[in-house]
Amino acid sequence: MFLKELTELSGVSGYEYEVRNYIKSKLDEIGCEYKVDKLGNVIAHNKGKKNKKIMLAAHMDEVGLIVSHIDSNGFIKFQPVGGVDQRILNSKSVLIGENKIPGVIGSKAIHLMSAKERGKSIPIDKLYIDIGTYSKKETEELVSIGDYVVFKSSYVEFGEGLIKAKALDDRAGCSVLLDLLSMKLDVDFYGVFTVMEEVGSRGAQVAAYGLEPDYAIVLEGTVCVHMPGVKENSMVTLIGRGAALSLMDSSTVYDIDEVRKVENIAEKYGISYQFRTSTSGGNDAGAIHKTKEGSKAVAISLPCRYIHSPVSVASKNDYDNVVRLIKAVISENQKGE
Amino acid sequence: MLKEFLFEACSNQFVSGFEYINGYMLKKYFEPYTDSSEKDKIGSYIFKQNGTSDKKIMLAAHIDEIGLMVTKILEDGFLSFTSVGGINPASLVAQDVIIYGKEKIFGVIGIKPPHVIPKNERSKALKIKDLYIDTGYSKEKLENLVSIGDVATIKRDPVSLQGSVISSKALDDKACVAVMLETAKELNKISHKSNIFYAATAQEETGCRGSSAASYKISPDIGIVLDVGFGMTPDMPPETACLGNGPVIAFGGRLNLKLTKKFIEVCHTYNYSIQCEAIPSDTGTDAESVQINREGVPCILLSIPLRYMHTSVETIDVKDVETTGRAIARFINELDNSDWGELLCF
Repeated sequence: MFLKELTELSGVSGYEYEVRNYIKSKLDEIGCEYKVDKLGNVIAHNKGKKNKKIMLAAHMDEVGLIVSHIDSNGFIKFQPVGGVDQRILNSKSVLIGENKIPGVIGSKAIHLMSAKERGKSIPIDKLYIDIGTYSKKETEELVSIGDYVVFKSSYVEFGEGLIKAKALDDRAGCSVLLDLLSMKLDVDFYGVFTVMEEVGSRGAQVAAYGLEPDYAIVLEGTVCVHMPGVKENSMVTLIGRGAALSLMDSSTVYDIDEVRKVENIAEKYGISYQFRTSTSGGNDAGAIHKTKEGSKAVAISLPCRYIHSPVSVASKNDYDNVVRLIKAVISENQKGE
Repeated sequence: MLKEFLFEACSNQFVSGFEYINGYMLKKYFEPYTDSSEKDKIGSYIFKQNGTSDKKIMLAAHIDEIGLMVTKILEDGFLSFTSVGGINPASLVAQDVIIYGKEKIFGVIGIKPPHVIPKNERSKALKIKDLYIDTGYSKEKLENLVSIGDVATIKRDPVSLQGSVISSKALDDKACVAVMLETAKELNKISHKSNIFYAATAQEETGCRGSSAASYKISPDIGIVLDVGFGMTPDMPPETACLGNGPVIAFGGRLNLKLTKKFIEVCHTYNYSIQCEAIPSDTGTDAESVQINREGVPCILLSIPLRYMHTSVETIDVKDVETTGRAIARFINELDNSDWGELLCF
């Protein structure tokens, strides 16, 4: 598991280089062949027994912020990159750009709020980052328009087998993919670490175009609303119930025969799994399954509570089930029909 | 040293009513400069520097901070909680927390992700009862670790921003406890005739209770009350004080005008930057209780400008803390050389 290292790296969409460099160095250590394509996807090839061309995809990028303006007093305005809920921005520590300049996003004091304002989220255009400078000039020496911003949130193991980190969506998938590549299985597959998923699966599309897979598995961190006050049928996925299989979401109607096969394999190997019981959200499968003449795709995900926030939570046990399931699925697929 | 003290004090918990747990830390920092210390019945810590006269000057800065208190242990390791002191529920979303149970328990406060939330719900006001701490334990295990009534704080590592600006939870009012530390250090070097009492007061955030008992006990001739004030940000009115420009002294209906003017005069004489603000009535600080203690105590109120008050990213300039601490030492020195009868008469 490479989750601690991977989640503590910065990789807002379009600025994945820290994650890419880490993955490249791991692939060198493993001794796995790889190339980097024109958009920055890392495409690794695990050579082995082959029946069809299999593509596994996990995206390197995370949601975050981008610097859009520096005001006359040196405060920094920003825009979201990917799906950032304005409600999570209040009172946060952030790091800006390659030099990781520390900053904070504050909020007006509660003492100065009207009763109506209390508890309400502040629209992004009213928020700003404070890096402790006193002038525009001072800020401009450290920060530029276009610098990306990530949340400062360390990897923590807590409770009974849970982890908390930022960017579990989708460093979890990247970590699973590195685990699978480290195993040196006698199973042929392409492990693709994609860029720009959160801004429209740009990387996955071109990677799939280049590879022309027969079969793709998307490795994701996915929505989990396993919280008090939520009915079980609205939870989407549950923490601790195993790998999540997608049936349909906003980007893909998954090939039902392939989903059933995955289900059967999970049963056969005694691997915990669950169905993702919502059609909202999308992932790289949307781009991959309709590239060129199309391909079969499934998505196997790790349930992440508070996804897209600095305090995303997942279960180590679920993670292990995701690794075991994908390993079993690719092995079975390369055995031949 | 000030930054070291602030980082250490802000990393621990001093939730109102639970200040006693980490009081040892104050002793560690104050004892080298003071002659005696005690913890009073409410939980305030009082450090004393002995003087040569019978005059008593009390400095007061509250040691307590806002926090959370566990109200219920739920299925799947979730906790319901209430706030201790004034907290905007919106500032609690997506935070790490530490629950001070049998041991320190890590948890997070999260919300449903945007994927499953209708747009109109996102702009709805959050209430504390809508939020939960997620501990990752089963209910059975959690019940052995956490009890109803345990307190929690947001877990935020203090961070150094540019220059001497820092950001952390609980700088309200550790910033001013640090001011007292600086004054104690200074007065340890330059002589003073008055007896100086440094009161790190308890329970300010829940209603200025600690300073009331502490000032009764000390019965000071003069009170110097220290708290944080609103610092300038883009959403604040133009009269707001700026970080880095020194302490803010308050003029107002409840404060002693002669002493206030004297403090400004001392700042001008010794070249300490100073900012002024008008607080017509209730100051919302320990000055409220200190002033009306026993037969009355003439008070001045100084504040350190702070941004994002009562959030976990409160931001100050440590330079202001240092300036304020030193200016107070000079002020006391000047008072010692003044005619108190004249100074305090009307």
